[in-house]
Amino acid sequence: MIIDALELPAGTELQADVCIVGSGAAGIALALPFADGRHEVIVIEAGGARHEPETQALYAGEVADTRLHPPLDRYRERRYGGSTTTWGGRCVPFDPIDFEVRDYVPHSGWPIGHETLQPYYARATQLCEAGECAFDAASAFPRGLPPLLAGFDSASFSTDTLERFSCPTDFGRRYRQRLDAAANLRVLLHANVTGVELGDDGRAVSAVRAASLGGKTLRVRARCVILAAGGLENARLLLASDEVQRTGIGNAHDLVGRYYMCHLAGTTGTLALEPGVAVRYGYDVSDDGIYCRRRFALRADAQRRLGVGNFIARLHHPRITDPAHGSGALSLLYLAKPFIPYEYAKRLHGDDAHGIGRWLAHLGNLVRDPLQAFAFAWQMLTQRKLAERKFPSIIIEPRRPRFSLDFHAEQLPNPDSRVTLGSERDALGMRRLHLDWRYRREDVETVARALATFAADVRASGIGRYDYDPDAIEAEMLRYGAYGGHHIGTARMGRSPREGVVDTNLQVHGVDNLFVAGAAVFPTSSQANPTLTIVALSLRLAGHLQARLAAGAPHAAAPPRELAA
Amino acid sequence: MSARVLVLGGSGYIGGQVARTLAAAGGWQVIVASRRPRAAAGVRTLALDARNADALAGVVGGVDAVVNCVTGGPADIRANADALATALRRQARAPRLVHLSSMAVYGASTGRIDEWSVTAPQSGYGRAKCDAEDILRHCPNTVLLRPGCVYGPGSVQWSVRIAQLLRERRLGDLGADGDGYGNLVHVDDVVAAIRQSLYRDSAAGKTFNLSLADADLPTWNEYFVEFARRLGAVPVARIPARRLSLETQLLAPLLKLAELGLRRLGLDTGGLPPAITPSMRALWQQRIRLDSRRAAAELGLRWKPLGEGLAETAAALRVVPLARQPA
Ligand SMILES: Cc1cc2nc3c(=O)[nH]c(=O)nc-3n(C[C@H](O)[C@H](O)[C@H](O)COP(=O)(O)OP(=O)(O)OC[C@H]3O[C@@H](n4cnc5c(N)ncnc54)[C@H](O)[C@@H]3O)c2cc1C
Repeated sequence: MIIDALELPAGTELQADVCIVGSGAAGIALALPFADGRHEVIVIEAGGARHEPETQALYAGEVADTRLHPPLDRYRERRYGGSTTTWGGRCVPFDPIDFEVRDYVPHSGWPIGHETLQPYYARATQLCEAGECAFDAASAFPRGLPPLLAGFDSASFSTDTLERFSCPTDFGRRYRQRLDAAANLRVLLHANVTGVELGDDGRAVSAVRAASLGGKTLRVRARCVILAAGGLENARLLLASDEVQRTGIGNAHDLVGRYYMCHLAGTTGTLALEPGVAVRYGYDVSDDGIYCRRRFALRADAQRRLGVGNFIARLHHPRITDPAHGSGALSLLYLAKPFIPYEYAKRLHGDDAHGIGRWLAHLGNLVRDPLQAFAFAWQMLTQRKLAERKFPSIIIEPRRPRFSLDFHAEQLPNPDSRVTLGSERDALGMRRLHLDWRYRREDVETVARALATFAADVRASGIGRYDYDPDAIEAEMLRYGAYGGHHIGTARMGRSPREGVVDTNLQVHGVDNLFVAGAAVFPTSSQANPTLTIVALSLRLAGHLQARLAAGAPHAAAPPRELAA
Repeated sequence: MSARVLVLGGSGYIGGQVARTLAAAGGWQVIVASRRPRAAAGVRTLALDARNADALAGVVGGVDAVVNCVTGGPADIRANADALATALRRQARAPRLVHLSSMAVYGASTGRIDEWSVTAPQSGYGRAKCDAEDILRHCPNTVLLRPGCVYGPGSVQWSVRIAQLLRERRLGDLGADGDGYGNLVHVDDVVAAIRQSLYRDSAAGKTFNLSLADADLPTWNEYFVEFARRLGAVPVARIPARRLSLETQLLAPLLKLAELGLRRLGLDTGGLPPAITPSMRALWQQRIRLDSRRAAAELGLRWKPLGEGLAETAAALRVVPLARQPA
């Protein structure tokens, strides 16, 4: 059932077995396994079915250095379906090394292993509509594929791993019917959670408090409460709920909001191939109809040898803004900037203003090369705009065998990179976030060493050369600041309260019935985009909660006295 | 002397399979009755209108068992049930009756459905099937079988047409439109259920759902994707909801008109492409799961795994085009 909280009487109190805060990838993946089951579930969602500026504005916050991080009301969506209403759909599982304690990476290691999560990836891939759980070329393409880069012989890079693409699936739209049809599920729209209330002893949640922008309030009591409000908002809710635990819930050891990670990404250098070297730039479609793409992935042993984080790189078109590429299609994209959503336009164009001269140069490209531009526009129309399974990104075969390299690297955990509560309050009276994203020298080193290794391997293979400016790496990876939309680590998983905010079952240490879902719990960030792993963790959590409820977990803690009165 | 079994509707898909299987298994003398019977090895054929009580009374008296696979429009279904009940009532000793009903009696129900769940038919077909059950349930010595969607080599509705739609990329992954459960049952399992219903005394007076075990039920999306892969109809297409609406609201009525037109002209309608009807679309969304545990336990059935069934079906479909080629 999907209910608009604006239509509930003011002061409504609701009861359920499970209360999920947020209906993004994490919340919906968690709710679905309960559909048509024995347990009553309430999903509390801040937004409505569409983007609403006043609701979105509740996400705004302060950013310590605006060159390093986008504004907090960007790169996430406060609405039903969450940020999956805008995501790119790239699905990649974490690698086994991501879970390991790496002596060269401080604060690394998950308290659960790859094998614990592996069984959930298949269903997660399905829910993301990325097909079967086959993330290497051999199993996804049993009839074989031509090599990604013929003759590239490298002990350090694998070219066999795949990224598979979701439609990209808007979880809200895709699963709406199922959520709506299930009699035991209630999704409340336009209900902003403003606080998690603990019982007097602080050991269990007694109620979740929510308010609508129209001024209505409601309370939900549940046997289990799960925060699934996204990687930034989960931390905000824990920190802001400070009535009983004065530093915020689960924050006895000052971990909530720390270790905030994004990914480090950028486009750099030129890979110039010898004539005749076969290269597979772009996507291959698997039998189950999924766009798949291979990439250069730094192998685990190479990471250990180099002492760096996880890293992948993809072949990429030349920088769009520079008209020297001579491509009509790329210039068309440059000129179409006003029609491309902010989140995507930013990495396509950068934020810097360009003069009329550059604009004219691009127009010149378009005029000289109208066929390529037309073919590209046609592909965008038929395979993207009109298709439900969208061609994932811009692929423009270069005229000469020249590519740049698009890298996506792990950001290593750093306790000084953090979110805290700021001084300003939002329209519902909640303190806004203050965000101070930091990176470290080691993060630059991951990219620098990986690129140097790649360049050396290309040269040694005799297939061409990869030229880049080693001194520009840091600038390149910060050109657009931290990679947008991946909000990781702010309520990390750890065996003990000293090591993490949540335990291996994603339960907040010391609070018996409070859980966190989403990338906030990841102790490290991997090279992989987070959503597939978010969904896998949610599915695992659903299983845990079902077992716990079946075993007769207690009902919500007794309310604090003033509330009971 | 071997027992005699009368298969009504014996030239239909399931009736034909039952007749062949019983004849091949031995122990049964098989009489196939239909309006226009086709001769087949090892069976006796009989031209008979199964809506005619007198005609039926003449044959059911001489057999030990009747398998009723008659189908047709709602009126035919009811008329057949009435006639059969009347004919059986005239017998001193009632033969075993195995009547093939349908999951259509459950209509738009959702959730897990066992044989005690209320019937709530929605379509004309479903209501007729429900009425037929009510009429025949009161005949002594009757077993009612409610199969889900019967697939397998030769199944026009759930295999041959689906294969064609998959090859034409008119079907594939349907997104939310294919989230319903495919309550599939392999034709061999239906035949096995019928055989067991003939033999087992304990089955009399009971009703059985027939479908894969509910833990193994695929969603329709899973069925389509898996089947397409087995057929080599890859890559599987993603079908936008918009396209499905065009199919059900525009193309299907046009195809229906074409079919009626051709019929009127006395021409073959077999060349028309299959339609995707609104009722198919609704079924593919329906979150209904038949609980078939009773059949498994009491009729001693083991459902053929879907992968195996689809492999066979796809293999059979691949042979057909070759056979059609000129020698
Ligand atoms: C432009 C862009 C592209 C991306 N591309 C990819 C990609 O290719 N691959 C990938 O893996 N990831 C990608 N991501 C990231 C992906 O969108 C997120 O990882 C994912 O959506 C996170 O899921 P979540 O459920 O944790 O959070 P969200 O999807 O953000 O959902 C949080 C939900 O909680 C609700 N909420 C928030 N606060 C409250 C409150 N106080 N009370 C009630 N409800 C609340 C929100 O309204 C929202 O519905 C991308 C993100 C962006 C912005």
